[in-house]
Amino acid sequence: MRWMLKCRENTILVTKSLDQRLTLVERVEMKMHLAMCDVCRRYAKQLHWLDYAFKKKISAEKLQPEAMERICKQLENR
Amino acid sequence: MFPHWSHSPREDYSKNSFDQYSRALYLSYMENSIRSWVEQHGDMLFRYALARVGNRSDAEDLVQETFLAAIKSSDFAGRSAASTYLVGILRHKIMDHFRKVYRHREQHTEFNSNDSADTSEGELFSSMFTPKGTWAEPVADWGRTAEHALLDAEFNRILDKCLEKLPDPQRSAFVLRTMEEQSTEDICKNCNVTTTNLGVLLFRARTQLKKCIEGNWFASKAVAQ
Repeated sequence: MRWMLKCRENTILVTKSLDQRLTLVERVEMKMHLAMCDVCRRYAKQLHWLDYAFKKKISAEKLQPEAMERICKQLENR
Repeated sequence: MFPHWSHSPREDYSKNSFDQYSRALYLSYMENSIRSWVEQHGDMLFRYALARVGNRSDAEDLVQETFLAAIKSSDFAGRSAASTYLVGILRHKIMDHFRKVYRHREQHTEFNSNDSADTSEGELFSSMFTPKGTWAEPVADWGRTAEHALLDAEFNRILDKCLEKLPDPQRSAFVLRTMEEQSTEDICKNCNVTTTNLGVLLFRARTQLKKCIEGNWFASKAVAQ
């Protein structure tokens, strides 16, 4: 295990952790670095927040009412 | 629930045996059914298309073509798994869409691009760090502006714009992962891309989104404070 990651190596783990399971070693390495590095802590928090913001926004996407109208009209007049 | 016609429309409602009143009734029933059907499945299909083509106007057109194809298709009436069937049609329409857009390319996958061939984060990543492995540029402090940003209409517009600015494969990867919460295995399987490639796409997408949002939103807010 690497006792003190560089910020660059830690960033690799942080971005990987968003999409995949880290190994136990990777998780410990990352948590240790984040405990000591407030810059990387800020970065990790921002990435998580971005995912959250987009998740909320994208899952609320709907067909606009005028698009719905237009589609219905086109189908009815086919 | 797909509106259940107990008889196939063609059998019982031919023009010959119909009087004007009944035909008007039938047409209005059809219109209500179509409308409720679009209302039931339209949003889901729209989100599916939007994730892959990246802009509302194309997504709306694809949804319309999907419904049209479903209505015309002779074996549609009475289908129980309507949403699966509709998504199947939509997938084909999206493929056709990409074929038109990327006619000169050999591969017609949703991740069709040079990005997919890359296996390392490459220049983008290394430019973020010094040779010693520390941050090359400070990570911006958003302060407290993030807290209420999600409620702001202007912020949502910025999210829209920044997402649209992403190149297609990056946007598709990010939206599939974030919105549909598809596992990376599923995305790789369905979109014909390796785990490494997907990681690169997602990293680039997030980095670009972060930069775009910081430039358009947080910068101005920090000044205002």
